[in-house]
Amino acid sequence: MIEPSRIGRGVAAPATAGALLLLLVGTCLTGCSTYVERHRLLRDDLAGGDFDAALEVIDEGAKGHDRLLNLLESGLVLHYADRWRESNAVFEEAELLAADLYTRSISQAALSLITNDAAIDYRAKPHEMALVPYFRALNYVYLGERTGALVEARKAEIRLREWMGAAESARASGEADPVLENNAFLHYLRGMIHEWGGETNEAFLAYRHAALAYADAAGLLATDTPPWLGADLLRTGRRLGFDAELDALGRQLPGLLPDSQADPGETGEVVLFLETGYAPYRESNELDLPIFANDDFHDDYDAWALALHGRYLHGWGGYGGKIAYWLRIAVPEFVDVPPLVAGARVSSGTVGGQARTVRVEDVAGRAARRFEADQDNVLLKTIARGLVKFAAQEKAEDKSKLVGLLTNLLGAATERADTRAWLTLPHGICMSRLSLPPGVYDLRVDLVDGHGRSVGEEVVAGVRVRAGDWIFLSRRVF
Amino acid sequence: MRYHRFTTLAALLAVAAVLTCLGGCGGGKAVTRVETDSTFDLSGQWNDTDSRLVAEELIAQATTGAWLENHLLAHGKKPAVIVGQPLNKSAEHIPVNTFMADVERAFINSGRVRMVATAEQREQVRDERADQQQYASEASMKDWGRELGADYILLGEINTIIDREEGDEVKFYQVDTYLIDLEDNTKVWAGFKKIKKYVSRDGYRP
Repeated sequence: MIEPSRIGRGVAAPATAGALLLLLVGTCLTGCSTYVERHRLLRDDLAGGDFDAALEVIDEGAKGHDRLLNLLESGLVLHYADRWRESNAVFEEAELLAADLYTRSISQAALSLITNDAAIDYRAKPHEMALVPYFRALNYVYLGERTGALVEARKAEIRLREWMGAAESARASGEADPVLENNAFLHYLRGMIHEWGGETNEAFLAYRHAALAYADAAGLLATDTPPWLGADLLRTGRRLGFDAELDALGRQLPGLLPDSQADPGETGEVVLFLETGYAPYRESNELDLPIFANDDFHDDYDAWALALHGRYLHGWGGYGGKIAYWLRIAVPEFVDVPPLVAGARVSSGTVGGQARTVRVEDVAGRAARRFEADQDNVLLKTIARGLVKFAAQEKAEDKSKLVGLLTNLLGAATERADTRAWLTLPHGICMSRLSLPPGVYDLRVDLVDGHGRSVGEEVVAGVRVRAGDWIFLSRRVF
Repeated sequence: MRYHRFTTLAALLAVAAVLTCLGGCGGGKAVTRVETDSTFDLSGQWNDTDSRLVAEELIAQATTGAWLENHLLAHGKKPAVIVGQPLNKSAEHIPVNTFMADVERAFINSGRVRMVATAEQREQVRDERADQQQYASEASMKDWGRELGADYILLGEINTIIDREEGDEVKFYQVDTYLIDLEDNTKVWAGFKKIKKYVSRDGYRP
């Protein structure tokens, strides 16, 4: 039974100490604002091309537990600011930190049980870390360092192998999400970089992984198998004499491989990545769950949290008991704002004709699936934390109404959902490829919305194409 | 009573949290000079120690190899060697020029090999020589067409095999170098160095 709150009986020393302790904890916390609130201006600054202001926002909002996020945000802003070497240095630091964050802090976890999840070091999601080699490889491409881009392709392979290995074991128990544990785009990207670097065997293997991963993601993510992938497989496979592998792949994925291999002639490959919009973000959403006067879980807080979880999911209309307390919790809310630009028509003038972009990476879709997958655990932990705060408040009120009130205020002040995510990431990545004769081109990129209507234009000027070479380009549109 | 266990737990957690907060406030920066051959492994990535170990091994192999005696016997003069561009075929951004420069320096200092400037260095030298044609006195001006052609080119590459699962990682680096006869493409010497590292990360820390 829940005992009703009592009016003050004087301030008892232990309760005061407890309240002061909690107050101290509150002081140690990262302030009351969420990550998203502290970075409100970041997206506008980036979209407006004010990179210094964007870096300033990141710097000002930097908190100890967000170190990895700050590095990721800074690395990307520096990438767009054409400060490629600095971007690589920051991304390198981020990757080393991400590896070290494998080790979880027990004290941070304990602190998060009485404050909020922002008290824990942010560990990036796989779909976030998957894009680091993409941006770093582009940095090396723009620096003219093919070796560096190849290193990124090899690093991506190690990362993908690790994820796929983990997925294999999890899949046996039905826990793995094949879309979340693999990344078709990263496979495809590294395949193209390997081929550009003359590593045909690695390129073929990467293309094959990409084809299988895109097939796995069909209907689950808003991506399409790139129409060039079949020809890439055929070209590299035949060069290596992998006829048996090609036959097997053709049977496994009918329609993927073209009937014949086109003669590329004296052309070069222009690869254009179009990064659109912003990835979904999270807001802190406060809600109240009822604790009934007849709730009696005999100190079994797991069971109590589960019961409240059930009330959150299914409502509490059928309980009919007297509500003794409204438990306020803050849960993350997923906010997805699809970008206006859905793709583009890319034209090189009269020589190379026109090509449409294809959406090759669905960052938003991955974020949504990850959010869904984590939702139950996040909610249960949040409710459990709310119960800890509630219990502390009840105990404090036993001693003093004032201390109880302070404890309640502190609990409410620290109750924030963890809204952290890599905010400057794009919503998705589209891609176009053109095979062009040697020369210098101005690429006209006609941006289109979801209905194919023109919504803007970009020009990528002075693209120098050499026979047999690959040119990688990227543009970000908001 | 019903909340006794729970609030005790909460208090303990709060203490842990405060200690964490206070602990995070401490510390400062300290710089200590150390010997250049001392070993520090911080991230597990390729570092100066790896580069030094590779250089030491390659120098030992190259300067005692039979190729040098064979060349002296066949030609009666010191071989001329040029260092080519080493290839990084690894999954780390490794500055491969450091250990190749160490090997080159060992060759030079041994006095038994003549080292030819690299392609990049030659460009600078030629620029300087061109400058001399216009501004240096006739007596001191250096002539064109008298550069020494190398007998051998030193090529190298580094490969990695990395296996990773959860917090554990095994890294295997292999550096291979070859001296190749520029006339007939025969490999007259091969040197190598292998390095293996195990990087482990605990699942939890205080």
